[in-house]
Amino acid sequence: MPATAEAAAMGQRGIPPRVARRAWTVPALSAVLLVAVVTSSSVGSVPISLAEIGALLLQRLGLATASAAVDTHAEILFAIRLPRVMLGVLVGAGLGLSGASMQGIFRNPLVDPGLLGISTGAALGAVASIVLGGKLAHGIPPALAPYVLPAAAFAGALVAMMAVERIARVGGRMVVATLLLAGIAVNALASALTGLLIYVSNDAQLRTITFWSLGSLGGATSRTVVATAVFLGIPLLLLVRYGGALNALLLGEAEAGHLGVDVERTKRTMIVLVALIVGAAVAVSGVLGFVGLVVPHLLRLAVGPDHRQLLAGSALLGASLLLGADAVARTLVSPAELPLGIVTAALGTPFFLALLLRERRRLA
Amino acid sequence: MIEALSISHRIGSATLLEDVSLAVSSGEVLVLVGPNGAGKSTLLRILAGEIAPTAGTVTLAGRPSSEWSARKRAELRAVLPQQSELSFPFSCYEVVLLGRTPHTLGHESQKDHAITRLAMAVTDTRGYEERAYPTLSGGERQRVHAGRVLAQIWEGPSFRALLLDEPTASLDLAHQHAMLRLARRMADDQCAVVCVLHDLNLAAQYATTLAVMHRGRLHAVGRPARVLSPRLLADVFEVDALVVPHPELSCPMVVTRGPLERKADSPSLSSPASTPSNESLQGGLP
Repeated sequence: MPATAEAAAMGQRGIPPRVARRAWTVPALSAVLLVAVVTSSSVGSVPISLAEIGALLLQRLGLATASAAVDTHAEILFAIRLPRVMLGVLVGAGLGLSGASMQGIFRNPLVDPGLLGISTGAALGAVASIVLGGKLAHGIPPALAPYVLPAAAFAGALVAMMAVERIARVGGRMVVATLLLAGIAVNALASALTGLLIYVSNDAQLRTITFWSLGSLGGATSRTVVATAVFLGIPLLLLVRYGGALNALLLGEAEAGHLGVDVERTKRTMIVLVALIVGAAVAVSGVLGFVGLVVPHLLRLAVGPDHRQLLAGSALLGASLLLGADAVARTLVSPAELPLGIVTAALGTPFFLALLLRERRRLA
Repeated sequence: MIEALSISHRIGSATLLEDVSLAVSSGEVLVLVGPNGAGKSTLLRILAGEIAPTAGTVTLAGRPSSEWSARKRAELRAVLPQQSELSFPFSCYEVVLLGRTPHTLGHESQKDHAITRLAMAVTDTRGYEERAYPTLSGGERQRVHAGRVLAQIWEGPSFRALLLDEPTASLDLAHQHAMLRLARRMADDQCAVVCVLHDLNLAAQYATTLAVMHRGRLHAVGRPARVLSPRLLADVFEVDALVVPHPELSCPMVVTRGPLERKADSPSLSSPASTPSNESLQGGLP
């Protein structure tokens, strides 16, 4: 039907509002993230005013010499708070994006790295490196030692994700019940093995594991930020570009193939990227539940399921929400702080239950 | 031209297709018919590239389809499946727009939006633009996917193939005819259309070529009026039927009496008067 001249003449008229509105997703959420970054740099057990942050930044960049700021504030801002905020941005973006990607790959809006055992797999890898690392450390050059835990977390995430994908795919289709059961099984196995490792660990290892597994951004230094930027940030930037392919994949694997998507290669690449991101996030901040589930859901309610906006949007919103949760964790019982994993789970669980109830009403 | 060259397909010891060759050119609507398990859908899925046959090749526009890039293949060939598993709350407009995926590099142009609207118009889905796909009925979903598939090959290279797997399965009578009329219009616009159907009368009315499959083989290929005969209906479909000219259109019509009585002496519920043509049919039975 070569009605293209007619088609072109019809022009912009009648593009549905939601489709037209999508273009605003990324700019709007970037603005939200900017506000979140500035706010969470300012709040904490030692509040630093926005004017002061501005002055200190200008001073650091050599654009201003006179300083109205308190000396210790410069130290707190640059050595503690900014690394923490940047780590929060990276981890939050990673969790939001990996949640959105997994919901697309598995064609199910109710999955996230935690539910399917990917985070638990990463945690198993990390715990294994803490407990067994000492025995293996002789063979590893000291320069590579800091990367043993992230690498082990990545390997754990990858194995878990591949196992779940393989089990749940039956003849090119994802069977939801099998998917969730596979997630439960992987979760259970990884938890059991983690428990076994904890059982054989010594007191020092046990303290490390316990503190780490509650989830926190507290360990942020400029070095962890740089390492995370490499191992989480690069896969993040690569993964964001798969939105169009994911949209097609949601129709089913055969249909995506008919639409010109190389399904096997796309899926394989995305699984490795998600595993890298989840592995890196778990390695630096422990298991932070529900961010990956809640963020894409919130966004889908606002802008619909088009993954070209959803992926970038989930990264931006995930970063903003995690910064918010971390600000709560730092200030609620100040000067002490709550483990971040407790805050995200406490905020995320009611949301997840509300989602389930809504789904149930819809199906009733 | 989309062409199947000596296609055979086996799963374990079961032979689903045995040395099937056929070619469909631009302007042609080839309708695949056959009883359950004859291999129609398997052949269509092989033509669609969903499964690789154990022997033989599929060519698209003269080249083996594996030699085209995935994106180029998608510009040349669109496939409407029997059903899709989309469970995300895309609006119908967004689903149809997905058909433009092979043509867009990240962002749709005005032309993509315009084609989407036209594809929705011809599939009678205008007014569904903002409805969430998961809330549609089976027939409505089928029409939205038809719109998506048409948007995919709305225009493009001189050769395009459209493969339809039982496109009328969940549609009401009016939409069944509308769907097949659309297939004919796509053929008039230089598409090669391959369509699996169960309803022989729809097939006879809209096919330019009828391909009858039986036990994994091509039993007969040709114009519907030449292919359809009481003998073939008895041999392949095991029905006792008449083939009469349509009272007004220039196509044959199949009028069934009932399932074929396998043996003349088998206990029969029907009166002897209702099986007058049995003797002419017996020749075709094994």
